Amino acid sequence: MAKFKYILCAFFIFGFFASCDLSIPDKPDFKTAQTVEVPLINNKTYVFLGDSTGALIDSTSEDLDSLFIVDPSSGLISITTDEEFDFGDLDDAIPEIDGSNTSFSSEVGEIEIGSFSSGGGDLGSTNFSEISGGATPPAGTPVPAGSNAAMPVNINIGSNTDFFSSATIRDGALDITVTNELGFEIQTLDVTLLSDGSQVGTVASFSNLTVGATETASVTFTDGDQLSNIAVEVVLTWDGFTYPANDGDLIINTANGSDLFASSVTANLEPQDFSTSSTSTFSDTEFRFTDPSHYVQLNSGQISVTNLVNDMGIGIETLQISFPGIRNDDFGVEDSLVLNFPSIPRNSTASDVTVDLTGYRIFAENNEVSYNIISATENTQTGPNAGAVTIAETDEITATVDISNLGIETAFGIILAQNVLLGDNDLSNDNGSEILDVFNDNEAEITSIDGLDELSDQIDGFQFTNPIININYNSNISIETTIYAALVGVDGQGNEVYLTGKSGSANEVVEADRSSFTGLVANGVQLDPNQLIKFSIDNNSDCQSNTCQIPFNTATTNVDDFLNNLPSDIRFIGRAVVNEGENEASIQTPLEFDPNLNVDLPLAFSTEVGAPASFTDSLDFSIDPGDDLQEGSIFIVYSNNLPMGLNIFLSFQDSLDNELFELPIAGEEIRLRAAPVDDVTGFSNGSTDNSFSFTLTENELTSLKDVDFVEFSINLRSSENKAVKLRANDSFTISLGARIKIQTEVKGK
Amino acid sequence: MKKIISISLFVILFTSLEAISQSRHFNSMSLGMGGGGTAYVDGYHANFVNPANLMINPTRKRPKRSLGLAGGIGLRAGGTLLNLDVYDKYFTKGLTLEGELAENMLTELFGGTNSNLTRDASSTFSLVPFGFSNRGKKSSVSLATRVRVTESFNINRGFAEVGVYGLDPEELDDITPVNFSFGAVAYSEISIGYAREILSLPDLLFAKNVKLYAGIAPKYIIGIQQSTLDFNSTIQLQRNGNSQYVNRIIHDFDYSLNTSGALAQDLRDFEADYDADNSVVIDDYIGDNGSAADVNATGFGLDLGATLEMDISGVPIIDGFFGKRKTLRVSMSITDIGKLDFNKTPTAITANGEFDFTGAGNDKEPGDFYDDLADSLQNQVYGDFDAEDLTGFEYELPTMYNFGASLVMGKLTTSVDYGFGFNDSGTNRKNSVLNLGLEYRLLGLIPLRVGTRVGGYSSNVYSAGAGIDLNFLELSAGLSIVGNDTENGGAIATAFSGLLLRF
Repeated sequence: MAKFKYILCAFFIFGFFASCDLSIPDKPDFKTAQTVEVPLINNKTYVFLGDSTGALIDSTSEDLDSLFIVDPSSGLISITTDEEFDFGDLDDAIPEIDGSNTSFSSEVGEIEIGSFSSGGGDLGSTNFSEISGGATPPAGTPVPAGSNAAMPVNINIGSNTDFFSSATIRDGALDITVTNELGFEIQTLDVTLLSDGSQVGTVASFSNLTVGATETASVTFTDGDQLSNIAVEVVLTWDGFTYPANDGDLIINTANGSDLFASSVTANLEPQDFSTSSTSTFSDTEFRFTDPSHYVQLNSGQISVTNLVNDMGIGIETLQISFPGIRNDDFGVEDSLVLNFPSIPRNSTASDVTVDLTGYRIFAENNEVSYNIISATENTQTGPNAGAVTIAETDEITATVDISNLGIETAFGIILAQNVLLGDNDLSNDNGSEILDVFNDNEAEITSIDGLDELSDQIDGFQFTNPIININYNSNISIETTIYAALVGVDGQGNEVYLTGKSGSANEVVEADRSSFTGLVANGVQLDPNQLIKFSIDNNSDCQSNTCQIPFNTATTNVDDFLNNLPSDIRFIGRAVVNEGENEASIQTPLEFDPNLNVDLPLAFSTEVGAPASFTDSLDFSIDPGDDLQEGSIFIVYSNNLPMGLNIFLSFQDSLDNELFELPIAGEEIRLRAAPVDDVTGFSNGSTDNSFSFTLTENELTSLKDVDFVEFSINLRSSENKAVKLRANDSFTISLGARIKIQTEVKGK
Repeated sequence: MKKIISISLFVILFTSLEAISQSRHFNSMSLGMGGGGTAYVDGYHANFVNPANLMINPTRKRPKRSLGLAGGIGLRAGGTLLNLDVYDKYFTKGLTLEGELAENMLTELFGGTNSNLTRDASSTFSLVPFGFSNRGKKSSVSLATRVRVTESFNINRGFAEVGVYGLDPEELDDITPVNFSFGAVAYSEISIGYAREILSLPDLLFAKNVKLYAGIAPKYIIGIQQSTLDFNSTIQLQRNGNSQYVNRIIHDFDYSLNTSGALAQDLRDFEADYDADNSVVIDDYIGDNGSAADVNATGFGLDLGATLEMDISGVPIIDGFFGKRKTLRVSMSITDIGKLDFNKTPTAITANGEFDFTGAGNDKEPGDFYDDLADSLQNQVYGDFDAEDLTGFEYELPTMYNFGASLVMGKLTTSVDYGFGFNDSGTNRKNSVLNLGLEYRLLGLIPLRVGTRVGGYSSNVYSAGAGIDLNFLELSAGLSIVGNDTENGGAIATAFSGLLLRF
């Protein structure tokens, strides 16, 4: 029974559940199909240039923010950029002047002999007894006329000529002064100078010497007369007279040189003045002083007087060396450099003297500067150094004058032509020769035009119709300078265009100029004239407010080709030929030449048939709709008043830059037609409105999940490929919508 | 006379109410037997179903005391949104929900084509962390705690249309209402039950040993969180100017969120700062004032009931098959009387506005526009709300009236329950529900349970349960699920007895 109950119970429970209409859910298995139709972009206006919120080109980006300017009157947009342009160092054009090291000697020359004595008393005397050779007659005794010619009287004056010892006379005379105190009138008196007992020089004759009279007569010497142990011999005549009671002597008062010069002398000498002049020369290989007004003003340099030797037996009391061509202050003659030396003892060497010449001007006609030495010996007749000295006329002082380390601040004169490298010469690649390679980064000046690089990455194909490059500079160069330069513009893709002058223009480099541009190479190959450009720096034309301008326009150069390449880098090397005509000019250091490279690209452009300009950019695009997208349509509504048509191409790429698909597909186009253009002004004068849509294929929808970014390019085509102009407010407005269908499958496992 | 009056009242209540409940507390036994239990759930679970049952001993062999540690875990979900008929018809056969098929699906799900038709779903999680009861001869006591988390969700057909069709102007009306609401409440209860025998008759008509028990279980309630969100809006898809595509989408909306506690304070802080600086982000504020799950309300509740127990062994009902001893219990109870007052920073968050979308305009690059769009919507459109102080808001417990009867015949127990809710809190519904259940204790220790529920918050539900009941230890589980006819919504529930010891 119990077993039956269990069976019955189980049957009951089974029956209960079997009778239940239980809803045991099946596995889910269904698909959703949602359609989303949304506006994506609503009347979004894109100007050709503008800020980041709506422009084909974001002119406010870091690279482009100063690239564009707008003409306030016409609205015309121009690409304008000023870049620093390190032209190279022109200081090599400053001439170098080397001074010289010269020695001079200054002889004392003929020695003048003045007073033979110090003047303490008479040199000697004689009386009538010595003259007559007898006794002195008593007073009142008549004395007949007579003469002592037979027995001349010698008076030794040497012991009283304390200033004189001996001399070799060059010329001149000795003035002898006598006083007649004999008490009777001397009819004639001849005084003969004796040297070592022999007559020397002429006879000094007196006549009619009255009682008490003092007279002077000269002994004239001839060159070579020797004076030593001097004495005088006197011969006199008289008329008859009564011997006076107050008789006296015939006195030799003094003996003084009169223009008496000796070639050598031993004596107590008065100061002896002597002088000489000399010259120092400068190199003339780079600068020449051909006129007294030519000069160089120094910012460094020195003049030294060294080895100043007094080789004489007498000290130098004063010594002055003056340089009339070396001047400071107001640069007049009175401002000449004068060096004064202290006394120099006999047979000694003076201290060296060096003078800083900074700020001095050197006037050195014919590249010579003269200097004068003026000296005076010490006085040996009086003073602490009194005493006899022996000197000869050939005794001298010597010295060396050295003008060195001259640095030029300004120069005015004839600057000889200089050929200066504009660029750092990389000595490592051409064995130190003066060769500059425009593609050697160490040698070329590379100017990156901010923004053009960015712009060239985005736009290709525009033909700018009136571009200009200006080199604006401030300079203190007043010398005619001609630059031979290689200016090559390289765009983001490495395309190179050389800036060259058009045939017949001043900017054209011709074969005849080869010597001026030899050594300018590209990748080791000498550049040809048609790869170079020439221009002058003359500071005379196109200068305003101290800023001068060298323009390169389409009339004289190929600047249109050069800039239509949208160079991101401009590479420069050059040679400057300074003062090619070697004309009189001035120059100063530092040689200032601060150029800026100014690029002016008015957005007046055209496109060529079959070669539209292209604008490219990319944006991150990463969505993962999975495999659920079934349909997708894009709707575009636009209004275009840009003077150009826009063909849009979208390339959907994965993380490895592989293109997954592109839109539009072949045979279709996403085209915004150009606005109508005014034939006269080139500006657009209306807008073109239209709309279109396109549908994504199944494969494109499937590929969307692998897309990492979208590169979009826009072909820009000027209306009928004519030259058109863009204004700041030219724009196109676009609205974008999408309709997508997402199918999601849900399936239980 | 007293006995007569008591019985009469019981009969009046039994016959006058057609209520059938759906928020009734359940354990693994009652869920397996169709979700009733008014007349047979004993032990500490009786606190929440019918406290009078603290006095009963359903199997006659159960020890006096029962102790539960995590002694009852249940989860129940259901609602009109869970329409398994529609699910089976449209979501299990590989169909593509588009066009007419999608229209039919929506029509069947929402019962019509009006976009304002609504459907809802709700769920309740219940856990009894601790329970203890002691059954005496004349009276019984118990202590039990319970945690309940109830969520409800309501959408209109327009909401579903957007979900099914997307933003398709060819499918949506010119103006489509898109509405939804959401509510969540969480609270804990500490319940003390007391029951006693109030009447005992040795003979009454055909029955013997008739006893009437009455029980009451007051409880202290700790409100953790209650939030309600009501979002109403319309969507317009416009193709202006003969556009080939939708070039304007307008979402006109208003919503209100009532919440309290830390979450409310977070939102208030955000709103205050946003008024001064609209660049602040709401995400930076959430959590600033602590966890949203905090003590945000307190209240008291009450469960009470009565059970009439009688021995009807003398009545010849399949007499002798399951044993001669037959016990009939007739019970009724009112459960979850009470409410919670959430008065800690009660706040009403309200906003209304219009999101007018035409795509990226001139002021931003499209890439930047869409990068910023989500933040812009969060902060400047939908997040631009006003915070308003409230005096507090009440949560009414899902009060139910329950009536049940059980007949124990040896190892077989059959039951029938009726009930209805006094309110629509959580899974509670005012419409009535009928539960039928049967348990057979195989070998006296393996309970096999089946049951069904008719009415309530879903269509007919069938349930089953099994386990092992060694009297001193019970481990059992129950499961219920809606039948195929889910016109009135689906439902699913599960329960586990937890560790239940008797001694």
